[in-house]
Amino acid sequence: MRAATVSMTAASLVAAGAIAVALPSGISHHATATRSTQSSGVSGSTSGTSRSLSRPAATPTASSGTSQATSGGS
Amino acid sequence: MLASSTVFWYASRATGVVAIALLTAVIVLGIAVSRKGRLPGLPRFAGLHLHRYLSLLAVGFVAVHVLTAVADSYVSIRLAAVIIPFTSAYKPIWLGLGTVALDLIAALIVTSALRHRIGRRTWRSVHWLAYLSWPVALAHGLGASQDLRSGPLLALTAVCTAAVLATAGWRLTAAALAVPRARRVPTLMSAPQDLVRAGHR
Repeated sequence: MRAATVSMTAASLVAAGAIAVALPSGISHHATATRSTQSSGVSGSTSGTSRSLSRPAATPTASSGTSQATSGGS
Repeated sequence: MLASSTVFWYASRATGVVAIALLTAVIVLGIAVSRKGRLPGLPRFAGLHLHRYLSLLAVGFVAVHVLTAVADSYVSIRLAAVIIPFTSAYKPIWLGLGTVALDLIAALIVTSALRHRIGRRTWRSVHWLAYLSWPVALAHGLGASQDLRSGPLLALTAVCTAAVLATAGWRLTAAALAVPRARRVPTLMSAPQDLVRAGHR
């Protein structure tokens, strides 16, 4: 029984790690798209524009937008 | 690639997916071992032990899921929104469902910890909330992110849903076919006579 619980814990941790790694690359078109959407949606309501610009971009589109905004600001 | 700034974001989503899978296992085991039920090939205490252990494991993943969601600064989720449903500025309905599921799970934990003090009847009545918390948590997962709506994670969602429905159907069918308690003794007493009659034929 102890072996079963240990193996279930290990399997859960491995699964979580695998999903976390797979989300940005494999499963992830939806994840990145959602995140960029959240960026624009939430920054307006929480005045977090500078935070979102300073973060590494999740998508190429967001990346180009960030660099433009940064260079424009400087 | 996981950048340091996106670790919380992806950790929250990944632990949420695993939490859904674990909660499914908890519900399936709970249905299987309820009312003196047992898992095929396992003694009943083993099924109960697995149910309790997986519950704790699921609660751990839910806790990490919530904490990383709050810690991620990309989306602003206040601590109050973790406790009070439908008060989040971001996706209030879908995050609110997650809060409802969390509150229900918290009620299950508290009443299970106080089971010997509150009595079995009260504990059982509160424990029925588990059947509500699972679909609410699944709806939160489906609505709050698109991860569960496509690809391998959609298959996982389908498997989880099928497992819960199949287990519930199995138990309900078994309950419907079971001999009512008031008729058990007469049925058992008449069984040997039926066997004798069958032997004479």
